[in-house]
Amino acid sequence: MPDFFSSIVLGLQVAASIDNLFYCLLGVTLGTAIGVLPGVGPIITISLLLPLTFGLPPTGSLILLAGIYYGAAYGGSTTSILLNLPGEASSAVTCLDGHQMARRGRAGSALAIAALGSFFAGTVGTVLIAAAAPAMASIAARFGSAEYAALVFCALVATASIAKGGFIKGIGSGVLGVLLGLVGADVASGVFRFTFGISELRDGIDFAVLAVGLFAVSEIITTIGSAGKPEIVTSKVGRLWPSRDEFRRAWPAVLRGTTLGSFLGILPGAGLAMSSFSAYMVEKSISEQPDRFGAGAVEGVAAPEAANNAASQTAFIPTLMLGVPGSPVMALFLGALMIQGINPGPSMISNNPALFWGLVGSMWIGNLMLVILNLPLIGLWVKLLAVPYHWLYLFVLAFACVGVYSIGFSSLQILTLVVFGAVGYLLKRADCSLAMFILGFVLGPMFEENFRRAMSLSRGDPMTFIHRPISLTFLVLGIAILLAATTSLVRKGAQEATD
Amino acid sequence: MKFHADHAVGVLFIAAGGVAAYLGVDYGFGSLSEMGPGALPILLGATLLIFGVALLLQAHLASEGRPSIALMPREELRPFVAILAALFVFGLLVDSAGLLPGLFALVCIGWLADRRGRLKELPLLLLAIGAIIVAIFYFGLGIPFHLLDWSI
Repeated sequence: MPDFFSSIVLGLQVAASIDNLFYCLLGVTLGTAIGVLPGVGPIITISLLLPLTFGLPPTGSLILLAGIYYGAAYGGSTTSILLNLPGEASSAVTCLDGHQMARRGRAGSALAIAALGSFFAGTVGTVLIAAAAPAMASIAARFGSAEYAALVFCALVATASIAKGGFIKGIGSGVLGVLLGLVGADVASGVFRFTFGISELRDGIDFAVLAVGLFAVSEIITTIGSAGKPEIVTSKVGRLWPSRDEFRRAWPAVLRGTTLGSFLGILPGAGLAMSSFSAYMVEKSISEQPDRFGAGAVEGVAAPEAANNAASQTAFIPTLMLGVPGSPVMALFLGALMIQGINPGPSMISNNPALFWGLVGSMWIGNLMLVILNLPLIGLWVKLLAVPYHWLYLFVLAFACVGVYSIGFSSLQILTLVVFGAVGYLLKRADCSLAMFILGFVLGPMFEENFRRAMSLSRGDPMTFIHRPISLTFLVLGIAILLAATTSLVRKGAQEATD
Repeated sequence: MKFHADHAVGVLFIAAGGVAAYLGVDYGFGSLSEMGPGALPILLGATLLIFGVALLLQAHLASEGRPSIALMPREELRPFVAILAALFVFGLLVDSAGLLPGLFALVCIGWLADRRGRLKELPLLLLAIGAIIVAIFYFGLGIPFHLLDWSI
């Protein structure tokens, strides 16, 4: 236990250094400013700003990214409430009741509840990371190659089973991503794979370019195309402080949402998007007046926002301790870590204590800054919402382009951006999951390395994945989810065929 | 049989899986205990191929009475072409002519993507975007761009 406190103190010390406080503040502000723009969710915000962090020291760059992440999530709930325009799946639930509250003139209260609930959940999530990460690391330290390979398999299958567009397209996009992740020199033999004679591809495809092309460029194209302008609610934000009655309803919902979200966030894959939906369903089912939901129920804002934020905190546990991200945002994080030359995994705490605990400390400080800064600044953010999209996308485009170019000063990178913009757009139009694609890309090299090593350690016996209990658990879990997904798919397909 | 976006995805999976597996054979599978650089491409390529076939079958079975999804709705053709062209031309210009000409072309071509843009707004947008980008990247982050290259 004294260990726990000294670690927390170390973390807060690192996070509270002038440089890191500045990065945290910068991240939170940039994240909110960009995340609040309509049609720009956390994934796009992070991939746009990713190139900016490359020049910073590792701790600073991670703190900046984490700040951007919270800021963008907060900005996303602001657009959900004020514009009924969710930036990503997990904030779609907030639209349901949050926007109804805004229509009834309670926007300020909905925003305050979302912010306070998120702050509470974020605090609990941060404490959980601090408490659980060392334990998780000691379990993870026993993982061998077979376990890692099985875990990656399980994470990909679990995420694909809830991917939009169905399981087959989801897992197929994941495999496509894995194959793309293999482009470049093979670590074991030095053979260049899938480079087609282009020497720039020998180091592999640049992660930041891929992310910007897939998410930002494709999103711009679809948003311009769907010309139906969202109705701008410029109505007044109203009184910020929730009423006594709203408080009374909100706080138990925040507690329930936090509990549910903290648990779901730890699961590999699937966790984040599920957390806010399931928190909403729980609130609705235990409410004495379920018909209030969808008409501006405070609980319908408080619980999903808390669950979402708790889950996005605890999602750091598998990402940092196992190196297996559960969501595209976490995949971006992992990519940023690797670019900085840090290998996430159980040894991260012992090798890089200042980095790890500093990041944990800055998570809490970042959450605090959001509450303190953003509630008073809400008027400014509302003004940003009014920027018309046909100006906005040009700024985003220029930012994306110059950011990508600044990574390597090579026009080939812009060309890659064009290709992945087109690929991302077409995949998205065909209902393929871009999240699976990027997860596969990030996890691919890790899967290959561990799979090959496990096979050579067992002298070519694939039974090694079954004989090892932890690996077997992951395999069974993955296959169980796969079966559940495919059988329901078969049922749905049969239904559609007979209809 | 109506065309459905799933058919295109199925064909993509089959093609990509086939190419990966085919090239994987060249890289060498190795043996089970000493997997070569081609092992994963072959295994994953084959898997992707199977998923592609499964998707085609599923799409074929379910396509009766299902509305076909166009791969690209008409109203998205214009932004698709304009945005990608803007990026492409930026890439061509930025190396030879410098950042500012690149941005100029990017904004002008990108501006065509959205019909709602008005011509009189364009100069202001150009100025604002140029100023913001130069402020952030050139002065703020100190990235040594060639702003303008007279040599061409």
